[in-house]
Amino acid sequence: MEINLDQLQKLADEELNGVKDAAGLERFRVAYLGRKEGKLNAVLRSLKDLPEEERRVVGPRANALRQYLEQKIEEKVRDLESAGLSDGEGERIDVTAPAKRLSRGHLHPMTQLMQKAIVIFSSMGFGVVSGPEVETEYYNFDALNVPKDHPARDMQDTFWLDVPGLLLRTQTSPVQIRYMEKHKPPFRMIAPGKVFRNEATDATHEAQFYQLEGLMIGKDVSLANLKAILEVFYRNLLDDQKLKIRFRPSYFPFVEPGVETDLTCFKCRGKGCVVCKKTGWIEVMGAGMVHPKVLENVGIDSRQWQGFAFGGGLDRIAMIKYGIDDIRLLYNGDLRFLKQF
Amino acid sequence: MKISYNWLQEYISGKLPKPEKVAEILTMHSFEVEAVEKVGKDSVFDIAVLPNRAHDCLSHIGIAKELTTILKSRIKKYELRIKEDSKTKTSDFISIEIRDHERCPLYSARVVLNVKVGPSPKWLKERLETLGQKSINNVVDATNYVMLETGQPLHAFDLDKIDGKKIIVRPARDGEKIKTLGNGEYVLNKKDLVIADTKDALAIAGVKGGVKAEVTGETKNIILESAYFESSSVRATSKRIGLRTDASARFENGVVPTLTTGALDRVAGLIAELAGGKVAGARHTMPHRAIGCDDSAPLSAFAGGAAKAGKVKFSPVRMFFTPDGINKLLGTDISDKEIFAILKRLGFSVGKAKNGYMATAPEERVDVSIFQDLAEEVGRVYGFENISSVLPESVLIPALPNDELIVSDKIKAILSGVGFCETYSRSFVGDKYLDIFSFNKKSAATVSNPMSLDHKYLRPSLLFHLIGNVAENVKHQKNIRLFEIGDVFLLENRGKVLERTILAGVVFDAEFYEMKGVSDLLLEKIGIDREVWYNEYAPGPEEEKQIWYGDRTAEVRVGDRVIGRVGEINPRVLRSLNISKRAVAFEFYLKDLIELAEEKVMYRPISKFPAVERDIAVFVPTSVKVDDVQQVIETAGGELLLDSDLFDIYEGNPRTERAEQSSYDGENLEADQKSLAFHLMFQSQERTLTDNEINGIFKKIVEAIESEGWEVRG
Repeated sequence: MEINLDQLQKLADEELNGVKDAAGLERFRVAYLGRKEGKLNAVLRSLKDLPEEERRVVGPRANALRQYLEQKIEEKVRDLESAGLSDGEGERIDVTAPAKRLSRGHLHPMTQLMQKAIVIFSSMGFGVVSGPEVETEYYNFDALNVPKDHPARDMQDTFWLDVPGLLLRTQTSPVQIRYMEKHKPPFRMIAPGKVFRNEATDATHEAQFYQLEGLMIGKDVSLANLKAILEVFYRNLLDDQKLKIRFRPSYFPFVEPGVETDLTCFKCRGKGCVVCKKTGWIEVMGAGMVHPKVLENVGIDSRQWQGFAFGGGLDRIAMIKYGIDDIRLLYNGDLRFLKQF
Repeated sequence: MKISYNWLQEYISGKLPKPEKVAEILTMHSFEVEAVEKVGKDSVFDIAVLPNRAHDCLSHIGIAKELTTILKSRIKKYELRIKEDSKTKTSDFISIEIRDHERCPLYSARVVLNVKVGPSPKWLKERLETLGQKSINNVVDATNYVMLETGQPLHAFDLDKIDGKKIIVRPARDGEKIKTLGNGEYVLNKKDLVIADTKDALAIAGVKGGVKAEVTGETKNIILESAYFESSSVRATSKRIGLRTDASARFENGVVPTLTTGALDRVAGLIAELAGGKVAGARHTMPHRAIGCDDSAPLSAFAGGAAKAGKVKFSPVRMFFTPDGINKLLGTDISDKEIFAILKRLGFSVGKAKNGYMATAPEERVDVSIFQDLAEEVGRVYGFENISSVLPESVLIPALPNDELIVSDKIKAILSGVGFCETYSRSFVGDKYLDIFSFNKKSAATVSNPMSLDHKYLRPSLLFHLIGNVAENVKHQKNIRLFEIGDVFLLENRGKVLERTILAGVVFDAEFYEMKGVSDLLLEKIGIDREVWYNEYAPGPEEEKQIWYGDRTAEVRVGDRVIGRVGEINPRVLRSLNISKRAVAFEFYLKDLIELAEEKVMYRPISKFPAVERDIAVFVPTSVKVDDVQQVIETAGGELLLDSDLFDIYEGNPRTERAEQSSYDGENLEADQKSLAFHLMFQSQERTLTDNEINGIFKKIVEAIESEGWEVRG
């Protein structure tokens, strides 16, 4: 019997080597371990006919062989499964050949810019607020101290709707008004969003563009605070801690004092270039201290509270930052453009 | 406004810095100088005078005053050389009647007799031409010159052409026509104000003179007008008839009433000097007691002062302030002394008041009225650029999270992660798109002053532009997957505009099931996966021809709520845009997504017991929905059926990609049947399931299917 088992193991090893697929392996398993016809089972069945002594010797060995075969079969299963994994000849590849292209999406450059702006302002405690694009004359002009029949209304060429009193907001300031009506100071908020101006379109002008406006009201919020906040904002937005902010006089009916905000030209870092028309500065925002009439219009006591408001276009920042020479590309949905961001 | 450097120098004691320096000073302290241009020996500034200062700074004297304030220099007093003929009075030659005091609170006139109209002298021609103005004749040039000098618009009429020797300021008659200088012809209505004689209109008040009383080479006697027309009336007329002039630009910003008479005297004197002639004594002003312009009052200096005498209606503006208040607003530490000095240089007088000070504005500064205005004056003269940055020191109040932003950002990350490119498109559409998409124009919000025909309506759907973008991109791209989040607009009954924020996306060369996959993924990832179901889209008769392909479109529902649509684009639309392959889109209401999105995720323990998989294939009539079959399977399968997953679908009519890809060859399938094959996954959290148990459940499932009249494939 001893010889039999050894032979059986040798035979099994040889046969198993020749197994090429799962079906063959199954045939092998049945041939050796099958209940009815399995060769090893035949041995085990024949044990009962053997004398006690021999049984003690052969029994454990037969069982060991069964375990051995079961393990071998399991290994073979793994071998067959990983048949594709080879480390033999002819495996060398050209690693400089192009990668397999995965389908990739892109976020619009304006989204990326706005997300960054929001993160910066959030870090300074400014909440993000939004509002409708179709506005009433009251929220877009009257509440902001822009009188009717006044040339100040001409400063922003407005799209009017066929519905009387409705217009496309020319600024996101209405969002600030709506916010102030509902909240009590102190507060800090920004209102990014789409605005509309009825101006001839060309490479640098669109009938629609994105604005970022902001507001901070407190007991002693000042113009000097505004300067600091805007400095932090632009330095982080454009990753240049040397950028400077410069205020100069301007007029917006909703602020007093009103200032125009210049930023060190971030193309030439203030040396003077085509972008900044050799001045070293780029006009980026209108700003100022919220006019007391605007505060009174929303029921805030202007003797107790003061603060700043600012607002500027983001499209131009994006254009300069990314070197986009035609603003219309931002709104044409051209994949050759969008896939670059 | 164009301002001459040499001209400015005439009013300023002390030599001005170089033109570039002057430009910088003005930009940093007053108004932006947009250009400095060398013209001959002069330099011309193009200054963007702000609307709140137009009444005093659209003039050389106004700008000169700004400069003297900043440079701490002084305005030269200007001598008026005017000889009046004491034997005559203006009112001997002309009478004035104002019929609309609201729109013309003040009208002053002077008469100059026996003028010789001719070319202007060289210096005057040069002055005007340097600023790009045309020289016409000595009389007209003088009026323009004094306007550029003082900011007060002036006009000269030929006295002998005025019927009835009477100036009447009245509303125009509806349909009244006027021929203006420079070959214009305008039809007016009663909202416009005219200067007329007893027969005809002589000028459109504050806008343009007419030809009837034009000053020509033959003119002997002239009448000069210096008036105050109400700004909104001039603005309305100028806008309506589309005529903007140097005069109307000044009137619509408001002129300073007390400056009118000084400018009038100045121009009369200048004309007598240039064209000879005799100035009739005593101006004629209506109404008599309006301002400090008593006809018998002595001439006064026009520059800065104007007529002080008389019964001034326009009292000077006074305002309370404290230096602390100014510093608190600016965030500065400017000394009281410097604040007072700056205000003084600006022409304010400052007096003590209880707990502070009272400032009185110079009469030409009608724009200041509150202490914040003073803070601006102090700030800009001191120099806004000198304010240093100070971070605020207030208590940090945490900002409320913005759900809309959180959800939109999530959506953007998810979609860009599965290969979508984000677009921003225009909020406007033209007739072309509304026609292509058969959109009912009555439901579109219309822009009343569109920039072009492509901008006539506000977009009622994001898909118009998205599909338009596909049409453009197919020219050079194969893989087109776009999405946008933006607002759309519908005109509702009762003239309301409904504005909604929409998320929409489109994929080119794909079919329904791919987009349904995107939809599933998106909704699951933002935390809406429990009760989402897809219902057949049943378009109304009007919608039928629009965007969606009715047979291949689903409404996406959560419970009863329709939160969006997923479907293929109407082939008719694709054809009209020359898109040659299928396109599939989705559209969701962002508000619903925000409301339904949840961040709650609960961990379910991983079962320690093995899962068992069985497959089942079912023949059902083609009209039966996969969802219905799955419902039957899952109900019958009970708790131990962990999941059922359709992996093969075959329809007799191979219209879908799925049928083409199916591993089943359609054997035994009748024409009106389809075959659905599911993987069924059985698992328990508590024990290893036995074959018997699974066979039992499987049998229940088969019975449930058969009781529906369907057939389980062997």
